[in-house]
Amino acid sequence: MTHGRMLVIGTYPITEAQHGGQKRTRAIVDAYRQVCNEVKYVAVFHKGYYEDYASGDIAVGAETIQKLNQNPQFADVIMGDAVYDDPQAHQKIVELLDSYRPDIIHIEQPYPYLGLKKILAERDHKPKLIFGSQNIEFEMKKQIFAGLGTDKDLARDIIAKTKKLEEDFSKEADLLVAVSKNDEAAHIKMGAKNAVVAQNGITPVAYSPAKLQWWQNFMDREYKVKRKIVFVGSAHPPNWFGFNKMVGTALGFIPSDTRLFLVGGISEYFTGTLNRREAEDFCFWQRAVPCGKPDDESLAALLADADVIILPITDGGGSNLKTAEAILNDKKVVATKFAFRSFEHLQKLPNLYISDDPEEFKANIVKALDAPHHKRTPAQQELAESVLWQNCLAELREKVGEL
Amino acid sequence: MSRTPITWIDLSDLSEWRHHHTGIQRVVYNLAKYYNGRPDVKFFVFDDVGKNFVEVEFAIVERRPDDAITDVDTNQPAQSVGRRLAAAIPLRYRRKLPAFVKRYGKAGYRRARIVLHKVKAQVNDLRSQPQPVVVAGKAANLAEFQNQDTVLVLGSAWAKPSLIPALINLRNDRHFKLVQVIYDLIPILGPQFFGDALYPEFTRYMFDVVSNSDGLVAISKSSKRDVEAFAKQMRIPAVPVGTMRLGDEFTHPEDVQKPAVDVEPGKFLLCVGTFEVRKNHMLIYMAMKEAKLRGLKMPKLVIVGRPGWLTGDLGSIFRNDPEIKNEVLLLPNTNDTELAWLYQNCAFTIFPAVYEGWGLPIAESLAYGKVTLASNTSSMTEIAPGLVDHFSPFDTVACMELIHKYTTDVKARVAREKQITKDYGTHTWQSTYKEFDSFVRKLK
Repeated sequence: MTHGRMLVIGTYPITEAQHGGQKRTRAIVDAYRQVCNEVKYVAVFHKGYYEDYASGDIAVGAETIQKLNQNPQFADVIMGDAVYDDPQAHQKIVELLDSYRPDIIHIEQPYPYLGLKKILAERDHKPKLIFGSQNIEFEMKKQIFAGLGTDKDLARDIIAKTKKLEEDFSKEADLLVAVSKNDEAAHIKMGAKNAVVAQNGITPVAYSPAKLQWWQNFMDREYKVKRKIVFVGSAHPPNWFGFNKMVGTALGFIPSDTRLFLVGGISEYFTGTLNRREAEDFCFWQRAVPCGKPDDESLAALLADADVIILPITDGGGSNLKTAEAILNDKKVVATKFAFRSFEHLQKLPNLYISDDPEEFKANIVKALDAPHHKRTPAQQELAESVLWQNCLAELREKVGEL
Repeated sequence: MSRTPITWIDLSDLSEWRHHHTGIQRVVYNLAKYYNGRPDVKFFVFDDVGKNFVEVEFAIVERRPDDAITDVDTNQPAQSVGRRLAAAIPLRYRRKLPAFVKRYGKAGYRRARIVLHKVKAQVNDLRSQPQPVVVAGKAANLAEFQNQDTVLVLGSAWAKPSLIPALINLRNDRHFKLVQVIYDLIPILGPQFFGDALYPEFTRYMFDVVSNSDGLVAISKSSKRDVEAFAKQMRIPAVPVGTMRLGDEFTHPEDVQKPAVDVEPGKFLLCVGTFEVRKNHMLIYMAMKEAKLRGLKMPKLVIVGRPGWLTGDLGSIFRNDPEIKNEVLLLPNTNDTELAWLYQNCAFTIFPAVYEGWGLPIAESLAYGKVTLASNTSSMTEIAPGLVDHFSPFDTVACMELIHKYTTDVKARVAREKQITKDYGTHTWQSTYKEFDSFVRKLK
């Protein structure tokens, strides 16, 4: 506990961590608390996006909100600029820097650096900087904008701005935290001089027998379900791109005693889009069950009760915390290779069905349902537990000490 | 000791059918009739309240429709309300209905609504009490489907939304074979021809049927193509799909009766089939109007069929168009003997449906040796290639010209009738049964 004052800045609150990015940031903050004298987290965020936040978090003002409403697909960059341009955010950040005087600033995802870099320069603050990367953002934006059909000129500008930001920050950061070896290599190519891989991990969540019983009653009463497939994902575009590509919305290949439980923002995405007067949509819901956004305990119970967990992630970024959860739950897992990025070493565990071919992926779902579950050896179990945050962030804790 | 595998046949919709048999009921009845008597065959109905499958005798569907509810005087309006209700009441409560209707029926029609509410209340009351399963006054056994058995669903199971899900749940436990008849996928292919609710309900039903059957028997090659395309679209693993040709033998050719309407033998055009928008009666109306404009002679039109989907306006048009109203007869309640007379005595027949699963009236018309005009879509071209005069169901002029041709050119009509009589071989229901049963046996 001798590493000074740490300030972590992000673009979302982490009081109620729901999506992968929030969970990762929360875990990093917790890890820093183990090695730093003092740690503060501050989010520069839009109140319309997040209901729960801490008193120290900084909500952006009306002008920024207007920009966000006009171009929600550019939210990351708008929020990054807002750190400097939004008067409310600017003032509070300055006050915080002056009063807290952090020795190290960790910026989670590069965007806040857009504004913070200018503020630090103006005020001649020179703390050590850590770039917390979650993806190669400009590459991901290319895919997302293409999928959304974003205006090409606007998309090109935003992608270029993001790329420059990532390159600059990679060079200027004292430490870069990458989520995978591939991302680490990409950042080193951009000029990062000191990098560490902190793959995504999880914190095991306990659940009560009552929660488990609730799910079992629900499945038996409503669907007479014998076997359960679970897909957990936010409404983040790569989640539904991947689902549509690898699984698709024609679910007739799923046996009739089985249901696919959609959990998280993806659930609302599909209830909001597959509600047309089309035969495909009616049939989709004969096999799929929307579960909304259960709390962590409910989700843990549902995963514990699942027969198969699917990870149809094909591109984009987003965290692969879902992969870690699936591994830790010791379930049969049907996944793409991409879902195992930074978990490549775990692919030798039993009960995994990995394919990047959509037809094979679907066949794997049926195969996994029918296959027996193979018990892990102690060594395999130890390997599986490497997905715990505690293990994933061990090297980062050491590196922070070296700064 | 192992039990002999049983073939179970569902009579649910037929057991509750209150009218003379039309298309689907004829198929169920005639197939079940040939299965009846086989030692390995049993029949069942679905109890919608208890969600049970109840063993029954084939005899329950042999009763004439008017005898179905005893002690009911059909002249009493209040009792016709009771009859309507009866059709909606589960089998096990229905036996209590006659006494109830008797008690209230004489109060007359003005009390019918009160009666209706009281009957409903009594039904609800009965439903709340544990009841033994009762069919036709006798305690009945639950149908115990076992894993070597075969369950045949021959009828319109979509009308009982709980039936197929209940059967699927049982099948997932007991792994018996399930074979179902596919009539058509028209509510999916042409949802515009039905009420809004049918499209989602029927689609879900068809998804369940196709994804949970060991075999499907389509009533035409067209329906087979449609169901296979649906399975492919929904990524349902391939299931064997056979076909059977429906029987078109006329059962009582000597037992005919002229309906009490103003038609002259040989002077009218007959159109048989539910009076629903898909059957495209509008095309005939337009053809008749076009003929009026051109001064062409057209025969009187007799439309036989119960009212169906979305034809309220069309019925009004037929009844109120000054040029047409005296040249069209709408007969919603024709029985089999009257229908036989109409077939025998019409000039020729027309069947302008937009889409069909089979087109039984086409086959029946040919079986009567009548010139048959029919649409050139879906299954209608496979019934008797070369013997039916086809037209596009969207081509008014082509339809009008064919009607006019066979109205005015008697020689052509007679020649065509001779060809039909010579070349058209009727298909017996026994042959249909053999085709169906052969498919089912091959699955074993």
